[in-house]
Amino acid sequence: MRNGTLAAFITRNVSIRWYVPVAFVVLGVLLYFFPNDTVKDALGYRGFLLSFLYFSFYWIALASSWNMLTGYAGYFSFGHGAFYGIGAFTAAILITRSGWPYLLTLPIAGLAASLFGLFVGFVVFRMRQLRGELFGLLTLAVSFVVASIAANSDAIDGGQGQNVRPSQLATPEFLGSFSEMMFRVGVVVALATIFASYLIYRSRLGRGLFAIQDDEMVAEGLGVPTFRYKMMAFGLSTFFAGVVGGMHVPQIGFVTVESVFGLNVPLLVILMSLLGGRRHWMGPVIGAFVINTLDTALQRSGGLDAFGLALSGTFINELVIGLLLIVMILFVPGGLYERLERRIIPAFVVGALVAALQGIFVGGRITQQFMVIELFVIALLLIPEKYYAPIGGRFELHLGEKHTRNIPVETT
Amino acid sequence: MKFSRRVLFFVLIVSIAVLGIVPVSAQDGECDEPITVGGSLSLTGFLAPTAIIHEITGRAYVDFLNENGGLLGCPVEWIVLDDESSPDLSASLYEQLITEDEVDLLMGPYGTGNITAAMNVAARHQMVFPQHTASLTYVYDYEWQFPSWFIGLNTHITTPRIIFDAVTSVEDPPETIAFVVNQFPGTQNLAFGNDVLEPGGAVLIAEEEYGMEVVVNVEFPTGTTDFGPIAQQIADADPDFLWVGAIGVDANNLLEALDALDYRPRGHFYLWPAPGPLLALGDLSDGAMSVTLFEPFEPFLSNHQADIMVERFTAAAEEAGIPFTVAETQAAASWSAWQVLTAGVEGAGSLDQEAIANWLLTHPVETVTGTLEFNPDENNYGEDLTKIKQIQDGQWVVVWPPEYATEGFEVVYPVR
Repeated sequence: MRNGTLAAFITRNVSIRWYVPVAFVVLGVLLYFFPNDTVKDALGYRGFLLSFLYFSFYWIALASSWNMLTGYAGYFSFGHGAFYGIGAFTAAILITRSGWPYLLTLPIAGLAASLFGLFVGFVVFRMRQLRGELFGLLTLAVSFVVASIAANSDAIDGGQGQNVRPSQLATPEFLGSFSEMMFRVGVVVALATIFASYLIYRSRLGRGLFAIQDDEMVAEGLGVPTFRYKMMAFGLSTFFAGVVGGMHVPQIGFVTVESVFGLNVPLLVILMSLLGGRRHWMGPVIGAFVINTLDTALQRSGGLDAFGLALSGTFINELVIGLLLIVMILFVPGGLYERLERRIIPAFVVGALVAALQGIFVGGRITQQFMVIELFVIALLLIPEKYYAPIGGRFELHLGEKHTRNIPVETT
Repeated sequence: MKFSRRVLFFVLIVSIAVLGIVPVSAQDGECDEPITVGGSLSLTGFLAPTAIIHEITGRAYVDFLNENGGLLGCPVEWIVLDDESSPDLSASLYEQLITEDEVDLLMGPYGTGNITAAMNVAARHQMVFPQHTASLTYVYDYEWQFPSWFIGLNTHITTPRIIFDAVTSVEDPPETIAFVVNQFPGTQNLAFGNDVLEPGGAVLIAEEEYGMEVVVNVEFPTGTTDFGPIAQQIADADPDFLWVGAIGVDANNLLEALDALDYRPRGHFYLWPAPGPLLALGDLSDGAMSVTLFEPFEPFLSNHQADIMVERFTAAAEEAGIPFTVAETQAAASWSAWQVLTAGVEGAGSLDQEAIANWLLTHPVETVTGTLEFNPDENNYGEDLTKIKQIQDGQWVVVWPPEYATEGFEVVYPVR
């Protein structure tokens, strides 16, 4: 990037397969028209499906943005909520106080978060002692500081939040009704974030970040510009976090310090990335979709009376997600994607059969149907290799990239 | 060729999955099915100690309603979900209730933040939104929101005034005051006012209208449980009167922290405490004041269905095993929100949202907290119905205004 544009940098440094960008565009177009009346009538889905899928896109984008630094470079950030929150408050303030159109606030939200992220990165990445757990603690502290400033500043929150009323939202008509608009914006933001994550993964930058994760000192010794690469990853990661924060403002409506700077956001994106797998761009996508589905479905489980205890839906929700994560860490530490890429055909067969059987014989809420499908697929993925290989090995199909990489060398 | 077969197989599998997942029919709204009312409550999280009162009241009301013919002759089912005291979750649950459950009617959640977030969802879907406990009165310009916590549009002025009127009605009124305020939207509005309506807030009013000197003014994050440092500041300043912008068990935590320092306030006020736990503190909470819209005495008991609510709530609370089974403000606000919804539907004679809203905007509604007349010019608020109650002799009694005071009781200050 030293002597050229971003496009030139990408062309020179990124190695992508031609069909991937095409697939992104095709998927984007298909999803864009999913809320179309004709499609809706043909499929007969309820409006909630759009809302559920929007939340999936939201978490996918957020988890993917977190993974750009942490997943690839191994710098564990607990402060993603700060950048997400900066984006949310930036958009909310621009809408409520300056009357900006919603869509225009999104890049500004991203830039505000990214500028702050770059400032933090500039300070932190220069200190060699701030690696590992210290980096995690520092990002957590940054999150608390930002939340405190926001809570005590009348210009930002002042303790009373920013209420973005529907009447204040200026949105283009071509995006449709509110839920259709959120769905479409969610599609674009999620696909853009995933594609950026994919580009990093397939680029010299991504290879450098993986080298940093494996051994930063060795990477430096081999000529990887570690500071620059970490800054680039952190800048992109925080930019997309800010965009997602801004995007979500109309959905939550009432933006408060507790709702956007709380620990819920960073903890969930960490869980999602760990579940799906941090070392591949598809990992957070899968993890986010699975956890969002479980979360939504189990909240509606209605609770259970068992062992003399009245277990609430919320409790069951937390219990199941917690247990799933423990099982994953113990038995599939690389995440779901690691197994899924090798068991893709059986996974699709199991998922489709369960979906069909549910549709025909069981019915019920769409999120609970998704949840059951996912649990069956996860059960398949949890089968240890030695038991799976004799039967499932014949269906092996690699759709993804191998994890092993050559460490790049870029002279500085 | 092998690749093509795989692609075909893949497409076939995806098609089967889509056919399996996509639902085939929507519910119809015939009267042989119950009328569904959807809402969330904070069944877990920091708002749960008070929200449980709204759950018990709501269930008691729905039972009462169904025993008396339901709505429009149909039974009523209340779908209540746990929003975990989180406004963004509350908003997404209302979205789900409207778009997936396709509920016929809505009932607001508990707590200002949750209500504000959920109200935006109701507004997007143009659904009538009765709500019981929101306090950011100035932001609720959605024309179909109907509050039952009737505190007036300018609550940041009228509510502090009634509190200070009460506490300065005594022979030796307080001259210094300490403010300890939760960083919760409603408590902030009451303490510091807002930048939308005319200036107000308890701090400003205490200083400018009642001539009190503010000796402590601290805020604490929502969910704080350790009040040691704040208690020390209060003990050091030793104010004549303590205003705590408290929610739930903030009051208990602060009083216990003060007790650890062997300090008792001379006069103390808590905005929205969980009433039972505060009373359970015994001597520690003696003389504590709070706001109320209803207590189980006259003249409140003469209000519409008040005696029924008291009986039903107490029975339901005892059955639920909660320690405080007295029907007071929280229960009354909830019951009256249901009365508003019922009156709107029965008055309109249909479930049409516009018809319900129009009926409510043009008719007074008799409730357990009094007569509610929704004024569209004031965000559907009317007069401030706030009264002041105080813990005396181990019980909550109403002490202000005098015409509402429980017989034989008046404001006690100082309490030590």
